[in-house]
Amino acid sequence: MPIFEGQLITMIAQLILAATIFALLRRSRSGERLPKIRRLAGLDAIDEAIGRATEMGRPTIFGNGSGGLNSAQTIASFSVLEYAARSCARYDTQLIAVSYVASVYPVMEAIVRTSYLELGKGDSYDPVNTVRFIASGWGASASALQGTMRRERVAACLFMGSYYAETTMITEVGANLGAIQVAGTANTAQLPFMISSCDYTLIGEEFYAAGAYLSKDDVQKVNLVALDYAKAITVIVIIIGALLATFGDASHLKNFLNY
Amino acid sequence: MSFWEKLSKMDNRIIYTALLVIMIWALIWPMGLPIQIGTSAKAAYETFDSFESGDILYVSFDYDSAGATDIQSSIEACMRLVLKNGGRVVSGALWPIGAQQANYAFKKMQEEYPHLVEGVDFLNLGYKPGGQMYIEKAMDSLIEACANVDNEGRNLSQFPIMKDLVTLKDAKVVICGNHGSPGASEWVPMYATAYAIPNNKPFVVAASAVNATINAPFIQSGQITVYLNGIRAGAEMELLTEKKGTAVSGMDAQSLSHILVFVLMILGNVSYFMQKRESRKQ
Amino acid sequence: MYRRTIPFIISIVIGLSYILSGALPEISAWKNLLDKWFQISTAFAVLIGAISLSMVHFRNLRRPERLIYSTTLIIALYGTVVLGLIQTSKGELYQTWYNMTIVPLEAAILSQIAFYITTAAFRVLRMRSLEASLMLIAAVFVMFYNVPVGAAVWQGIPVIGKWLMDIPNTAAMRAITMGAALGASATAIRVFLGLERSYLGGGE
Repeated sequence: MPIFEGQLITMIAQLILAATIFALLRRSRSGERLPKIRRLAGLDAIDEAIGRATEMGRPTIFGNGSGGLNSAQTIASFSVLEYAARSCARYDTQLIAVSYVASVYPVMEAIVRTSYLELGKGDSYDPVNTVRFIASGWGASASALQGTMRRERVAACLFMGSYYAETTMITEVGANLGAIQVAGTANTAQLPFMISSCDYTLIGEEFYAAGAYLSKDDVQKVNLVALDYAKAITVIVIIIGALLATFGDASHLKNFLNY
Repeated sequence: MSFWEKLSKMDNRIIYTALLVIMIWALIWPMGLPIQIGTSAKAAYETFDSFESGDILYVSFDYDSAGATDIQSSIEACMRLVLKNGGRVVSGALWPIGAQQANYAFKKMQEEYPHLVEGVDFLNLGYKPGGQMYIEKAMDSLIEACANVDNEGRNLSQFPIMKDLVTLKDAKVVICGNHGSPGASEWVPMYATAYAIPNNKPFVVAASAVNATINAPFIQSGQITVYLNGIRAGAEMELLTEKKGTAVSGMDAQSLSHILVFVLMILGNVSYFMQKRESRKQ
Repeated sequence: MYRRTIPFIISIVIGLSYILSGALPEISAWKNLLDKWFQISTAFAVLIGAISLSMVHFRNLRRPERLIYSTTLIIALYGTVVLGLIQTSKGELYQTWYNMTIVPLEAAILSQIAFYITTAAFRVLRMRSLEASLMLIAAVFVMFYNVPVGAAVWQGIPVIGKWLMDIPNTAAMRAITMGAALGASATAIRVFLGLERSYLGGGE
């Protein structure tokens, strides 16, 4: 079977990662223990933020940025949204989930509605105001989000997803309101702004790992362990490549990876 | 509350007012601080000045009007150089509002070069959804990637310029105007790494300043060959093309606003240390 | 079945097609067809957003405190659509509408960043520890390397600023990007293998 030039190793790497996830899942389901997972401080902060909003009787706002359904960050944000929706439903705290992306909106709506219904809190779910599509494009969305945060006087802000230039505008409004803010993104350019204005920030892969910590699902935990194995292999390849390039010839390794 | 405590908790509105005043000041009475031309702007100038009659530049307007404040002047300077040398320009956009930014730039170019004919010397393909997938498809067939329509919904096959631009590979250079995603992060794997770099073609990115950190690894690895960073690069390009515009006039305001941030940082730190000293005394 | 199983099967088939199409030319042609569908469905998603936005704001018309804002939004939304349909995006009125509303409004919204960054810098950049002090010093060099006043004060500022951007920043960015890329590919594989189903609307 012909294979595109330079793609074989990439395809094998992806298949190995998939096989590792399956193998670890089987191990976990047969009762074998998985390595212990360190809990991130930022995730405890989500409980703290929703708890504070409950005490103050003010809403919690959740946003997942401008990534579409084809963005891994958006998919990762859904686990956090589900967790936040369940916590808000349990404590009768008002949740406002906002979407900038038309195709993401119905998914968010379904996640929040299902979470409320499963906890028997269907009456607390407002089909128009709980999940809102605010605007398309970051500029209009940022101003809509700022307005919503100020008008509703939110006490907790959870910003998880693909954020761009609007980061500072919304997190600074949250800081001015005195809200507890927990943010997470893999958009590296926005990390400094989140770190400077938010109480906790999930950096890069920590954000992807958030789902595993929040969920009791084996699949998520297994995924995290597989990810660590992949990272260890990547680091080893980088070190070998750096040593070869410094002291010898790295072309064989380069050719192999481009095979 | 002590003076230092008051200073450290200064009302944000005072800072906003100070910033507004100094920026208006700099825009009305520019100081004309000298702008040094960097290596990137020089490289961009050489790249676009090498265009000959008939060569095609493909510009991807992957930004909106907000990003335009940082990017548009660089892009327009590059287009100006190409058109001056008899080259041709085709634009696309991975952002919906990018198509309007392209119209805006072409209108300006037509005012400067009235002989330009749409469809012969330039064409706006408009917004094309799909991001990375559009680029991938355009590498095989632009007409197919565009569903055979330009920004106005006209059939692409009727335009002479499209006969010489069957795929993106036919463009002499591609520039991506980058303000977020989709943008450089999509062009780098699909165009630069897959085609431009192995074929010794440059890949130019004109980006808003906030993207500098995220694009830095691609510049060092050579996947982005020429990088025009923010309004500063726009000002340098305006000077090189001898057509001063908004970028040059905005540089003094940038300098003064940076000085204000620096002064505030010093005030913040002085108040922090004085408060610490006071609490130690108590 | 219609709500979960069918979308789930579609996602597995499409996901595996994408993984394999990078390497196998046979699947690549099928993926090209999927790309077209994706482009078309992305364009349709805008319609879903417009419907949701209209629902919220038509409902707001009954609330006096929100009447003016919602009316403005409805006029802007449908006015742009009607103008675009009548004149296309190159029409004079459409261009004037765009240049006199969206351009200045978006630029104004973006310019807010300058104000917020200034207050954030005042509040956050304090020498509380060795790490914070290093960050502050680096911030000063990087800030001034990009504006003419930096070189006017001392020629070394742009040199150090550029070094900070090119070496330590690039190293850190590479590490974070690699971690994030691995996280993204693991998430994608989980979706493709049907192990991740949150995008189907949550629930057990």
